[in-house]
Amino acid sequence: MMGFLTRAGSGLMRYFETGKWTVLLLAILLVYFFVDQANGKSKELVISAAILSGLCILPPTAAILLIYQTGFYEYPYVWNIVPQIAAIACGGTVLYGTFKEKTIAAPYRRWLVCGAVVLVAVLCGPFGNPKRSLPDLKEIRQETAMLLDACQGSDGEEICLWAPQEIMAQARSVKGNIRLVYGRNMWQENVNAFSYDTYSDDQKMIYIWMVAVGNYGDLDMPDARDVILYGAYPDTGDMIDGRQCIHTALGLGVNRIILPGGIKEATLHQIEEITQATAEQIGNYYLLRL
Amino acid sequence: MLALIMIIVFPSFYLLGRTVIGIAYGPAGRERFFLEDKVITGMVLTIGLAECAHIGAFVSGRSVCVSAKYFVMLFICVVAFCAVASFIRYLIGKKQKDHKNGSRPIFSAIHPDRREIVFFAIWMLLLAWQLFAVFYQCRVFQEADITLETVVSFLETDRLYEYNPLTGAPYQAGMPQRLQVLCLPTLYADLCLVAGVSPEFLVWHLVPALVVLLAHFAYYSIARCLFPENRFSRVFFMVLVSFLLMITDSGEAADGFGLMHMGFHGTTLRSTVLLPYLFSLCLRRNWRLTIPLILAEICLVWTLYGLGVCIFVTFAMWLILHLLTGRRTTSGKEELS
Repeated sequence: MMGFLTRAGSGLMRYFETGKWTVLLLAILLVYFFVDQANGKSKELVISAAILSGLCILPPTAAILLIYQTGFYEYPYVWNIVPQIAAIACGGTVLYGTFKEKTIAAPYRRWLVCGAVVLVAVLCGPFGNPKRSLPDLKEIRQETAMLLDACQGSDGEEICLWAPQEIMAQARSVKGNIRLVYGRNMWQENVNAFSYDTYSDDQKMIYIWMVAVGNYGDLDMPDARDVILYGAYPDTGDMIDGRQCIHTALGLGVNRIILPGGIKEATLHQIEEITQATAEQIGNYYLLRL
Repeated sequence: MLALIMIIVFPSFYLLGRTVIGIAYGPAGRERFFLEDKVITGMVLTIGLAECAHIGAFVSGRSVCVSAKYFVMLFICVVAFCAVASFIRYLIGKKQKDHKNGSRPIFSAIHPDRREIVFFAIWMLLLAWQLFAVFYQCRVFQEADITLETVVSFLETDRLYEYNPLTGAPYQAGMPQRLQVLCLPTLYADLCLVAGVSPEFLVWHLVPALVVLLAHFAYYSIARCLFPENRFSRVFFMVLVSFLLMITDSGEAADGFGLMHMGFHGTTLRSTVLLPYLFSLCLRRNWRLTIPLILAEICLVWTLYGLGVCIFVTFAMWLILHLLTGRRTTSGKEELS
């Protein structure tokens, strides 16, 4: 329960940081009561929204709601119970109506509430908080499709692929007949909820090696899990034996390896020797058929 | 393609919804419902049919082809039944009564003023932009979702939930049973088989566009409920809703973010279609129609074994409205139990 309470409390703070929804909603609610122009249904909507918002804001009730939604979803999903967009749009419409009809006895009131809304919107972080930008997947999916086409073997041959993260992330949604030595739930933990299956240490190790080889290009590297996976060349921690990783991958049934184009030439030759296969350059990657 | 699908889908939804509402409330009660009520109710019924097909296929060998057959058969039978029922009603003369007193179009024949036309045009522009954005863009939020992989896996193996969609290998320890009940991936696979379209096109492009349209229907039902006599206010409300839906800066739980980047997801369907429509029904005290929405959520989203957001909201709204009005009679002539 304490865990859920903490999640509810910190989740609310993050919610305020990343979006102005809640604050703006509350401001509009104030507008309602201030101008008192709403009709029966509008008032019912706003009062309901206010009560439901209260349930989401108060840590004990928010914690209960988190438990109610199985603990599977994050705190922001709790706010699904609040008709945020409808309440805000309704508030805006009613406010606009007061301008149009000029029914308020004291005109300064509406300017006051308008100013309050704008002020809240501006003060609640930069106006239009940093938008969560998602990458355009077209290019990487096209490249993945090209690589997977090149991976195809003779009829009936089952392909088991080991490739850099960005290719593995798209492979299964591009071609259903390719098997992967591990899926993107290796690095996206929240996808693990969809399955009880787990990965062995061997699979984790070859994943680490593939990420590291893309960053540093060597066959043997310090285990980046001990330092950081990206950035400067790690100089501490145990060494990852590239030769062993490749043998492990072969033992797991891998028969196609895609390597990042930035790999060092000497490393590529070493891998060709280990696998006894010739690398073929396709786009920004090397493909080895085993 | 988008237009063609909409031409087939929306009349079917309308026909289904109209019949369901007629059964639930009778011909007289149906007069209180509008186009958006019928379309969304039809969509909810279609989800129910998809769930039946999914469960049927699940217990009879877990074949996707069987599921598609069941779904098509059920859908055609139910739509045909609704069409025949409507035709019979038409023949016995009730259609004329409907024209006089019943269903009204979104915009009646009253001539709108210039300001209304301007705001209506803005709304349509925003809607068109949303449709364009979700249909043509490829900025999908993949991190917490495996829908496309699941559909591709279903179609490739013709098996329901026997292979891990992220690796293509058979499940070792399996997956949660509660997830296996959800019908959306099966419905998408069924539609891919029936329509012959690629999973990516259906899941990432077509379905999100359909959900955008349904979301506007759902919010319009709230607008009609809030401003029944003021058409301009309804249009203005929808302009604000469209604008707010496009502000997608607050993460994946935000309605706008879901609509623009993961419209195929069950949680998006819940938050942008089911819940707005549910609020509209609650405000109108049409409690009977909330039941299909509650059931639809169970088929779409991982909830606490059926105790989802819709049932919570329905109960909370019933309690709040009951406390506010202090009596059990309502303007909607509906029961509160």
